[in-house]
Amino acid sequence: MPSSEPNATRITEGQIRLLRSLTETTGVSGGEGAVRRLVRAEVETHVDDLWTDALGNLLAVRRGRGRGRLKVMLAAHMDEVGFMITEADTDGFLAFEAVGRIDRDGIAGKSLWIGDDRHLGVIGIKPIHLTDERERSRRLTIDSLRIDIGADGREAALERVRPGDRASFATEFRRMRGTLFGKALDDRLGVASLIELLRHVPDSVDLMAAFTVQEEIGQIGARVAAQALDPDLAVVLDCTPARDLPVWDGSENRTYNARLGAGPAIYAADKATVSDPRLFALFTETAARMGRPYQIRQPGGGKTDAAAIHLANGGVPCISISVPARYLHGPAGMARIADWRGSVSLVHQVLSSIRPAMLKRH
Amino acid sequence: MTDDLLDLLMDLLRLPGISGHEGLVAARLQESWAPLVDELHVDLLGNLVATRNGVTPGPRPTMLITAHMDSVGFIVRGILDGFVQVSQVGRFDDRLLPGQSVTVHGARPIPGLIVAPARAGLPEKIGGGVVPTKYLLVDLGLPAGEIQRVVKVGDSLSFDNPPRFLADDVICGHSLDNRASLAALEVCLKALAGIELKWDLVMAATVQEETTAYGAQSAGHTTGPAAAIVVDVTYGRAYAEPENESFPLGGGPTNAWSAEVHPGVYREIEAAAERAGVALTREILPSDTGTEARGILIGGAGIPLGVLSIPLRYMHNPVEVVMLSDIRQTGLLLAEVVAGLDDEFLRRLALD
Repeated sequence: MPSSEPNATRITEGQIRLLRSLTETTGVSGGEGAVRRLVRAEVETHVDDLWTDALGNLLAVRRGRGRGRLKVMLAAHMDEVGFMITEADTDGFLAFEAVGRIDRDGIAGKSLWIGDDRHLGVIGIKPIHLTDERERSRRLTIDSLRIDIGADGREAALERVRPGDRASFATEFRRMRGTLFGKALDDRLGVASLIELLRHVPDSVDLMAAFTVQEEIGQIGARVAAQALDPDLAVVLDCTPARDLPVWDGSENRTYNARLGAGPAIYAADKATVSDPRLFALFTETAARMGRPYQIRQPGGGKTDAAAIHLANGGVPCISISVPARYLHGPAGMARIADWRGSVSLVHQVLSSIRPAMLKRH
Repeated sequence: MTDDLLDLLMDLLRLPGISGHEGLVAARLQESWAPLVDELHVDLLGNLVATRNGVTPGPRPTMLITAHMDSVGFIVRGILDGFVQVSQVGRFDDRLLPGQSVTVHGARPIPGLIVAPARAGLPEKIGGGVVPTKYLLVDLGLPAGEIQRVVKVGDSLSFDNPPRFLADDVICGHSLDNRASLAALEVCLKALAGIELKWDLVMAATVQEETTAYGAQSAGHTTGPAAAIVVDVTYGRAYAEPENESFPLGGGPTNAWSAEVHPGVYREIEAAAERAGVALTREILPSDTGTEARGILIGGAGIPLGVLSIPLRYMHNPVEVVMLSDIRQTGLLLAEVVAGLDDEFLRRLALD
């Protein structure tokens, strides 16, 4: 298999189509099977070993050539935040709960795909004509909402949907020139990046790819993936919120976390992980040398699979590289192709230049 | 035969058409209705007025049937750093809006997403509360410079979620209020095809109900009906509606009992339902019906009218839900009323 540069000048139509399929597939934490099947089909001819572990992580190894190769783990989570059906009431409406930290202000008035057969459901709310201002001034809580699947009573509902079925927003992917709209960009963008990188691994490293499960409910999959792969270092490919909207009164937005269009977001630290300083230096210096835009994600909140990976075994030097995206954990996010492309080529460049000596203690 | 209503309805549910911008809806209706009527025109306000002539010689009384074409939506209020600020046209619950996809009808149709900025970017007084429409933004994913070129204050926005079926007979989409009723009018016209009418029948698809209901007022004025029926939607029962104010899907239309409704027209509708075997429920609306009836009622010397409504869940949500059988039943009931119009009809309406 030749080591080649991933297409660094543009994201191909094929990659966009793949991202569309990935985002339009439902893979709520704990139910990543459909996403895993998609990923497996994309990577199986490009790797030396490929297996699914006990928790559902899809793990792949692509060995390089020559001596002194670093074992580099790249991780991207397959799961997304979503919902689980808890009950069908006598009239056929479905009660549900959130899985992961869903944006609860984005639920009302949306459509869902429910279960493996992707039954359509909608979350309507009481007409404005039947509510008063007091009621409308209170944010909606999930326990006050129901999903309507057009079923006439409980039995009819249970013929199609069962408690325990998972559901995601029924959002169709859309592209507007350089901008992508879709659900679950967090982290199907990372999954798509990892697939692309697996196809173009430089021979100087052993690449260990982990398509992980259950990141959104506590980085469960990443922990065991790292324990099994036992890498020398790890890079987590995720998405981070771009909260770069204008402030209502025109003042400066100082808490944007990351900005759309400003390139891949390199982590110095988040709530759970301090990035390995050698990796941080390597990524920022490489990005600067490449002369392409990059940004330091504002340190502070948030977690990625790095939270679990860097604690695995005897400790793993770790860093996260995210594609900035707006409106994550809601019905439709928004990302820029240029930021996605930038993150893939940055990681590829680092994989090509990284050497064991770089991880020696100072 | 009546299954044809789906062609029209699915097309209508994909069209924009907020109050004041109903042209595309009128054009699509015109296409469907032209072969079914004798005369058809769009009046000065934008109402589509379609007439089927009766066969009785001499001046004939007119039955006017109306349903509004417009739907609730938004209008561009301003542009802030490449994001669009909007005002509501009609009424929405603010809590429905974040995450909703829309089309901005600017220099070209542009897809966008309604979003709530992070709390840190909002006035402190909002705190952890509901974000009012005033502070929501529409993100078009385009450079700020381009937005300045293609979007201007006053442009309209409509929901752009496509219609989808929840079950065989249950459809979900935006603007089912009141395009479900427009489909019922078509069912009626088709049922009357080939049947000679004694009266003239005027179908008016009206504009601007959601804002002022002036469309119906003008249609009532220019067509000079002897009697009228307004067709609209009512609260379908779901999980959060009070039982006494909502009606089950599949239970047929409601017949409003209200000060606005003429008791004679009410009884004629009831009798027609009986003849046609259509299930009909009395909907009690003590003062007004909340429809465009008011504008028609006070036209000329006063117009006796009735109001038929199709149960619809989640009114003014982007995911309104209607049962197709209710649309068909409403259309067939209207046809029965029209087919039954005779010389005695007006005499039966006379009040003592």
